[in-house]
Amino acid sequence: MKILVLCTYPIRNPVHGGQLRVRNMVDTYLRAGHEVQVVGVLGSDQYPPEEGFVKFPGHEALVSVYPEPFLMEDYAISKLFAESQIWFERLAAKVSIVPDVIEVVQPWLFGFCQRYVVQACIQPAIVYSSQNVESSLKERIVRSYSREKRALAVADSIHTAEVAAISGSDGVICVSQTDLDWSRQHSDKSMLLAPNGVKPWAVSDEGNTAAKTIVGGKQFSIYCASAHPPNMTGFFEMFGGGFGSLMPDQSLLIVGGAGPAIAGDVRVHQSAKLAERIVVAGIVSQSCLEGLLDLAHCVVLPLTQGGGTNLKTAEALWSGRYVLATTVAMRGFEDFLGAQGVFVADDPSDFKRALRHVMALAPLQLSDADCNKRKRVLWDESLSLLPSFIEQIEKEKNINV
Amino acid sequence: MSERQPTIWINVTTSANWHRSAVGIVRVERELRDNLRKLYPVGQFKECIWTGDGFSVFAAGAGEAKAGSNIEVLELPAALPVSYLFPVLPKRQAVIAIAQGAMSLVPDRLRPALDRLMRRCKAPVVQAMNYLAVRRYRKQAKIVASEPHTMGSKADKDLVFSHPFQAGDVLISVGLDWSWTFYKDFYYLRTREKVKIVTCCYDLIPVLYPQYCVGEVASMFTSYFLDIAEGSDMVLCISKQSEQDLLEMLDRTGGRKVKTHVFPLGDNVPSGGGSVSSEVEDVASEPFILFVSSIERRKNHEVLYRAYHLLCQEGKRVQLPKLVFVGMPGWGVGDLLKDIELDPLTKGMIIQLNHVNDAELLKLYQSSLFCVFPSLYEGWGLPVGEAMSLGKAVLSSNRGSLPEVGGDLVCYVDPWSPRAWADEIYRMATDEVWRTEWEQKVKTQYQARTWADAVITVKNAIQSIESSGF
Repeated sequence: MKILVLCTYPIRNPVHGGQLRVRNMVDTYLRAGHEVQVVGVLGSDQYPPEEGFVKFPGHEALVSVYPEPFLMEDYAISKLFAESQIWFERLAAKVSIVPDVIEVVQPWLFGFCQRYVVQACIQPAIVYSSQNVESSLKERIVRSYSREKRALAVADSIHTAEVAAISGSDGVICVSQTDLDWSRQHSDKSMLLAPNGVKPWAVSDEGNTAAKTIVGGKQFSIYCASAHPPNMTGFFEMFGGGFGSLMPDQSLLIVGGAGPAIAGDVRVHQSAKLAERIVVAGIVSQSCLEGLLDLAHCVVLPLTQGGGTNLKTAEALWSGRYVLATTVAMRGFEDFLGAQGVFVADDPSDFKRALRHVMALAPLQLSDADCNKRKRVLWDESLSLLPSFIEQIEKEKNINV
Repeated sequence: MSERQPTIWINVTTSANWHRSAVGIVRVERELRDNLRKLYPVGQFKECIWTGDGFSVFAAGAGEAKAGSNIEVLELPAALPVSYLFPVLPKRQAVIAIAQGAMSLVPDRLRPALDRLMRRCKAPVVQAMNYLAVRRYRKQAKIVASEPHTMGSKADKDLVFSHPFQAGDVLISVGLDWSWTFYKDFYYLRTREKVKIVTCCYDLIPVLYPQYCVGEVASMFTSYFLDIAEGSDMVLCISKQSEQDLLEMLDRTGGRKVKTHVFPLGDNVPSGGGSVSSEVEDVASEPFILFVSSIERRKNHEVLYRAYHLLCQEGKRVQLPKLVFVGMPGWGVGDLLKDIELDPLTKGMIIQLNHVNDAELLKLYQSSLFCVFPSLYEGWGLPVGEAMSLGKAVLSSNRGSLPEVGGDLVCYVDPWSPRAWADEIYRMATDEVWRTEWEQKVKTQYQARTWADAVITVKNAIQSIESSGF
């Protein structure tokens, strides 16, 4: 079976959650013996060029279809590639297979997909691969930076695009039960819950040495996150107003793009002790990250926004360390609520108290049963039903055609 | 072989650097020092002082001097880098002090011009100071952000300062500790050197009511209390209110749940030396109401002024006694003091006395008709206790710890209501029977708290941590 995957970021060297998810989906299809082509548009000029991808169109092109593209670049891209003949053709030219299935990741290229199947005179099964309830997530992000009226307008536009993608597809893949329930309101087609996962790792000597260089012998908790705005919002919501959770010889290590963003934010100095207790590791190699997770006492996931499921939660669970998370961060991993070593708190005071409590515990020793349970977060497990789901959708489409 | 008795140390850094009349915290440090010394065998109780890079044994020399009245000034060793003629103020306070000084020193005729000049300069100066503060933030942020950071710190180093303490010793530090840096290392002193640390929480006003304080103190004091919670075996609290405020703050921020002990301050007014000036004699020769407190926004002198304004407006000026403020003007009361100075209705009715010595204070308490204390929040409220210890009727605010001090022996008034204060002041001033009833109640029921008693409870509390393990 030939599968065309449409998305707005490259996946050769995946960094953020969306990239990792698509990359692992593609790998799963390939392992199941399918032919896969990934085609798309680079949703930002920060992404490196990659075969099959049209470069980021630039501000001028986006403004031509959407007057205020700040924080709405992906939506502007969706309009540009669906409405502009030139841009449509540029992307269409990248497709080199005749797909049996087109998987559209997020709603941004769904308009293009619809136009493409008409112009190419093909009737593949279309599968919408959701990563979030995009409209509400985007509304919250825009609300943090812009006026409320704009946030509502944005949410409305994206809601329309999202519902069109869900209702216009032959099947939907969701990342969490909450998202699936929401999608169900807009379609009675087949749906699959395929949570996010993580690749198994074993700490290398190199990773261990790199990690030890950063942390010395100090006891620490770790927060791994990108500079995605909700990661900052959650961090300051949970740790604002004074941070007494850690003793002077303990630290909170921030790994990833969130580190410099948090350290450069004035709010870090407005919460007593927070600036003193955080240590910024910044973006580190995967092996170093694995080393840091191995040495950490606790992984914190102070997320208060965002739909979908958090890849970092899977990573935290797989690390075998204590996990202190909000309910939002545990979305999609609800069966780990109450599991050994997993603590959940949503109120900032509760979260801070829980962190102090966890840091005072002896290092976590998981039972065999809990070790096995945590294996459920591996990609192999979380995406195991994906090939059969796609095959079934394709079969149903053929029958209907 | 007999077991070594732990030495009880008291950190007298604040007292040793204080060269003016002892106020609240300085008095507490000195009273604890003097009274604890009496309770321990010779040699077991010692004083220490922070020298900038460590703690040293401190012995008040034979050269102890008298400053103004009976307040002793400890002679500092010449080598101490902390012995300045004037105490170092935060930058913002220093600018305010310079401005106040300039205003006070120029001749009367030049004041309006200087006032105009200062008003014009205020915005740019504030802007410049804010700019410096933001630059400081950014610099810190840059330091934090430069990556990758490593965690090499005290975790793998020895304690950074020298000290004379041995494992098992107790260090009592109850001064203006946040003005120094040593408190940040109490954690290491406690956990590595096994020294028992006792600190003090006077109040959480800068955290709970930063609007009444100079600069952005909320975060700084939250940080301070988190540090002393980590670094202390026990925090002495001067009231149940302060204890509750501290524990709530620690709970809210995830801070360490530290052991606390409430010790109500002694309220005996010092009867020591100094002579009574003619100015005070003149004031005391007529009926007056007394308010002892530094003049600052939180103390709420404003409600008293407004109450007096209302009463004068109603034609009751003749029946009103004078209102005497005893205390130094502080931050944020310039406009109020100007109102008081210029208001034709209350002109001459409100008197300010500054720099009164202990003898003068005692004279004022004794001569007053009654005392008032309208503070918006307190960690204790010593003047209420002092007034009652001298048998005076008191009109008091009911906020913060004040009900702990006054019990049901003082008449409480809503600190936000000038009308209520006007009514109660007028009644207490004109209804002698009513006032005498309150005085009798105080005289027969109030049990004065002595420093000696307060310190015994502190000693017992220290004993409880001495016997606890590390």
